[in-house]
Amino acid sequence: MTRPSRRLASGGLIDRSRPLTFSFNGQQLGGYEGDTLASALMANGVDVVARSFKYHRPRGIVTDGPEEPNAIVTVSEGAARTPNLKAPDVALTDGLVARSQNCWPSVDVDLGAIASLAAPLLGAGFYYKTFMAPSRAWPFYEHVIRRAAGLGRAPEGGDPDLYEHRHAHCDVLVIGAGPAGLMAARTLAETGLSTIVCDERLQPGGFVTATSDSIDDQPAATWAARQAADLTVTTNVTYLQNTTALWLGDHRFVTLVERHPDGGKAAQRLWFVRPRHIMLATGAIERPLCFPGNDRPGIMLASAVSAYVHRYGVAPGQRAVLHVNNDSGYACLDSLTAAGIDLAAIVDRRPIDRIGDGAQARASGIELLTDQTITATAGRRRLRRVNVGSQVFEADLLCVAGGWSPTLHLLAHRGDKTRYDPENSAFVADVVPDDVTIVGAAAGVYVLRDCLNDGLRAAEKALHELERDPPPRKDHTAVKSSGLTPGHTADSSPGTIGTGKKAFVDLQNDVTAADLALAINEGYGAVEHLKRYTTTGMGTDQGKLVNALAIGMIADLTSRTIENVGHTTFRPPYTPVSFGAVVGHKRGDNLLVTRQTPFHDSHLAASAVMEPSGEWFYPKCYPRTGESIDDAISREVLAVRNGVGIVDMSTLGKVELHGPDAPEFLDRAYANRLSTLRVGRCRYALLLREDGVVLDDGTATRMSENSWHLTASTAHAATVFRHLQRLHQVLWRELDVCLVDAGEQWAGLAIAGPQARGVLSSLMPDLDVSNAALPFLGFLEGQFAGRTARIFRISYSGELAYEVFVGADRAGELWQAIVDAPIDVTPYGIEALDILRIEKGHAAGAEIDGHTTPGDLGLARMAKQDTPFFGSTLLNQSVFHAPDRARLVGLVATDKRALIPRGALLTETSESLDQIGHVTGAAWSPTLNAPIALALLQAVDGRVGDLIRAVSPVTHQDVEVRVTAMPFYDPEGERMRA
Amino acid sequence: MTLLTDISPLAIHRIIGRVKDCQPPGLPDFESPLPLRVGDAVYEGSRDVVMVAPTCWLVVDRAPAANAVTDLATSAKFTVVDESGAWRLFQFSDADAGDILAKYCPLNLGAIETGRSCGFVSHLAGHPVIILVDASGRCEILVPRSYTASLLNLIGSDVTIDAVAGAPPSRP
Repeated sequence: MTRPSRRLASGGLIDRSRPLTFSFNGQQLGGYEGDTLASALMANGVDVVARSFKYHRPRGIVTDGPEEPNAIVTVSEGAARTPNLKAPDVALTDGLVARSQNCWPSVDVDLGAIASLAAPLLGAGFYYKTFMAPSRAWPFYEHVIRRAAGLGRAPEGGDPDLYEHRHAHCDVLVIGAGPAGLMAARTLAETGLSTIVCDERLQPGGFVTATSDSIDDQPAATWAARQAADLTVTTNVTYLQNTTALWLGDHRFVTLVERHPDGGKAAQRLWFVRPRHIMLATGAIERPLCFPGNDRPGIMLASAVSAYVHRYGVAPGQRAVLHVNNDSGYACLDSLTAAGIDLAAIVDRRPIDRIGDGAQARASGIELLTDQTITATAGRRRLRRVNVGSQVFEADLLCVAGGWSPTLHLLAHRGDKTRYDPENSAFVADVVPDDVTIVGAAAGVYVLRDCLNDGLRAAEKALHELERDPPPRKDHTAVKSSGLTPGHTADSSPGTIGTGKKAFVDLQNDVTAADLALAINEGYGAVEHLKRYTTTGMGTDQGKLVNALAIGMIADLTSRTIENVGHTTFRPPYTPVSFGAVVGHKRGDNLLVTRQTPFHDSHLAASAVMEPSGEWFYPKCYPRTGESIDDAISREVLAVRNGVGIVDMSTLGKVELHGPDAPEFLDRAYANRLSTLRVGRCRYALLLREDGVVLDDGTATRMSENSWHLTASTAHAATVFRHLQRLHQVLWRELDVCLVDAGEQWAGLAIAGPQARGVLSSLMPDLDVSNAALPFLGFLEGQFAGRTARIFRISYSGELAYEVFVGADRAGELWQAIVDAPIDVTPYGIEALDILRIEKGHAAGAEIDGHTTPGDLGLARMAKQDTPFFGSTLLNQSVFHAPDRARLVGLVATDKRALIPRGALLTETSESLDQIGHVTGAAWSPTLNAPIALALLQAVDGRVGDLIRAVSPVTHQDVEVRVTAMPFYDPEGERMRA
Repeated sequence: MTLLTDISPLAIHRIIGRVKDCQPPGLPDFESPLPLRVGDAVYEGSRDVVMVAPTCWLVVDRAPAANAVTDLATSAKFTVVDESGAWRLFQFSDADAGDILAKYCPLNLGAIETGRSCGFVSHLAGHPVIILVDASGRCEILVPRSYTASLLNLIGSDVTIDAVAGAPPSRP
């Protein structure tokens, strides 16, 4: 299809010496450096860019900014595909590939448009009413709704682009580089304040780049470009073009997204800016008008028409009608003239006496219809005709000017209030906070000279807030502007209901004036209810284009004032931001922060299979050549039971406690008594939360009179240290103790198995490690590689075992020394460790799950009965002692071939739906040659020997298990005391 | 490209004054009093002393003969804990360190007064670190040993890593 070129022979801010090619819906098209996708499409005569969301009506470009409701497209393909970009926001690049979305088979012939035939059935809230019955049909409805929901297709595969984050601090953040923002930024820069300026458009200047205005005897766009260039090279200024402020949070925390920073090295950079003062020079968004047939391609905002003419050298049409309800729209006449566009008529909704003199002067010689509105439009894929009552105008362009809405979304994000200002016919900031200055059009200042002066005023205010003196004021005298203040602004939407023709309030969501009326009739009078029931203002609009129209109509229909109606919540982000920008560097290997133990390289050298365990990388097992994982794990378990093994214990939490009041602190903090522990002895230690639930179990060792070494489980290491710190710093400040997190300092290996003593002797031949010198739960300090080593005789496996800790920088030496011992030592991993502890019935993370008490875990006797401790008060509550409470038990499968599924539910019979407990840990025990498990089972008294079922709805297993006493292995503990 | 060199020191000790001694007097074996403002640092030859938290200092010794710190262990008012194995110390080669750190760290490093030595407990994209900046603007980061590989993997595209003093980071 050959389309007419709408590119003007000259003009615009594009670089005509740098032609670009791109494709749209498979067709090769051309544009220039400086074009947006929207301007390039328009220049190539592409009228239908998209199909509407619900009715699949043909839609064209309406605006030249992020408020665009129609021209939402997909850019790039495959893994780089990005859906739901607004064509005016997409900078044209060579080779860019773009497609329409929400249409099939094409945007020109879309079968989805059949939905228009069913439009009478698709009114407001139709989905709430339609899919209620029959209820059994819901799965079908859900399938259809899910297929219809959403726009665009997600990319296939990982995003190939790079994204960055950046933190910044500054004195002032100026958001918007229009004339007011630039003026303010320049003034601030002169004072030496650190300033960040960001602007969402491709070029600086804001609205002046859409005019033929001049400043200081140069085109305003040139003036703006020079100001921006000066700011860019100013040392105390960071100037960010093509950068949108997304969100303003508490304490002036602002996020910005910068597109193609550093010449495109990254796709996007997300900035986290913490300024001392914020200057909102965010401009204003022109509003559309509501009238029948107001959605046809060729109907555009008047300001957008000017923008396409002056920024991009594009004539959006050949013959136009201008439809306004305020004076500012008349400024568009200059642009139409500049582009050689004929003007058929001006339709003003106001009576002649409400039209300003300036506007009337501009309209001189043009057919001006006052106190009237457009009653119909025609044209299937492009506007052809405009009806004003009985009058008909042939036109392919309808410029619409419905007044201005100051862009105050960022303030709204933070919760700052706005109020309706009848004089401005817009919502303005109610009370401007001290840390924010609103300037230019965002403050309701629309004429160029006033904006420049407002920039100076705003800079002075910011400087005052920051206690700086302003530089001498330099007013601009040589300003020529064709801009007009809006003056009296008429209603946006009278006479649109009951015509039988669609008059759209929300183009993006296909919400009509009739939908709003229906919703109000059905009782949805509150603006937030209407938003949800009709979807008005949802999606990416969030109050940019739709709000004023909808609120005005609600006010009319409910006989309320606009102020009384209020507006909906403008939700962040201000414009859509890609997930990639939010994620930044946190992808691939950097998705999560990970930790390595000091023995990491030793594990790798020993052919360990590593796996993440929490934030740690930990050896799963050490398979030998040709050995399966399961066989390796069984071998490792049996090596510990029959010989000797070593396992990395460095991930344990380790806390040093020092001070004369340490015994008192420990007795208050822990459930069991620790103050009686003698120097050189260890004890298991049970820590509770305030509510009596077990927080962690670990060990406490008295290294000297006033120095203690405490351990915590890996999973709770950080929690335990924080908990102890809080107890000391908040509750028991009078105690003379100090706590040090020693987790990183010590590298630890457990040497476990009947031959462990021999290995330790060879490691430290000068140390007496006999049972008499170092008995079970004993502690010694030794020397290793010239540094202190701590040796604890503690057993997690149930075997004779020692935990040897050395400085983390000596870990490799310790590992090698043990491996080189004359006794064959088997490294074992986390799987074998888990099996060993299940065989011994030790509670771990799955049992200490935030619900269990000492009694549940069989540890009730550890708790002091005569002395209060943290958690003791609530530990005595009756619910913790109920006979049906789930308690820790052992399970053995009656069929040795059937592994007990981890996490399985416990039931009395296969048919029973009543859960009586759950499996917390399960394994094949090579020691017992049977599948065993730990479980929390309700009402356990007298149940040893009972047969119950372990049922997993996840793995679809149903295993018969016998309740057993614990531990499974060496119940008298003779081996670990050997 | 900026070079990040592992200069892990010989000894690092944490000194903790108990709550009731939070205003330390001059200490034996230290030429200068300990800094008393969190974030402040003093340099004595090859020794850096940084106040990292209320009543808590980190002493980083880059040369032998650093026994003075352990002598403090005999003081009744302070607890001294050896953390030599707990940390790795990396030095940035040039002034681009600020730019690199700004990608990952929310601290306002630009606000550091020229000529002031300081050290801050912070994080780089979730990795706990202590950032040391001396009066000349030289920037170093102290990284807990277990986080080193993850952090270097993260910033590996921004710097050239010279892991001389310690084992090079490895991934599974």
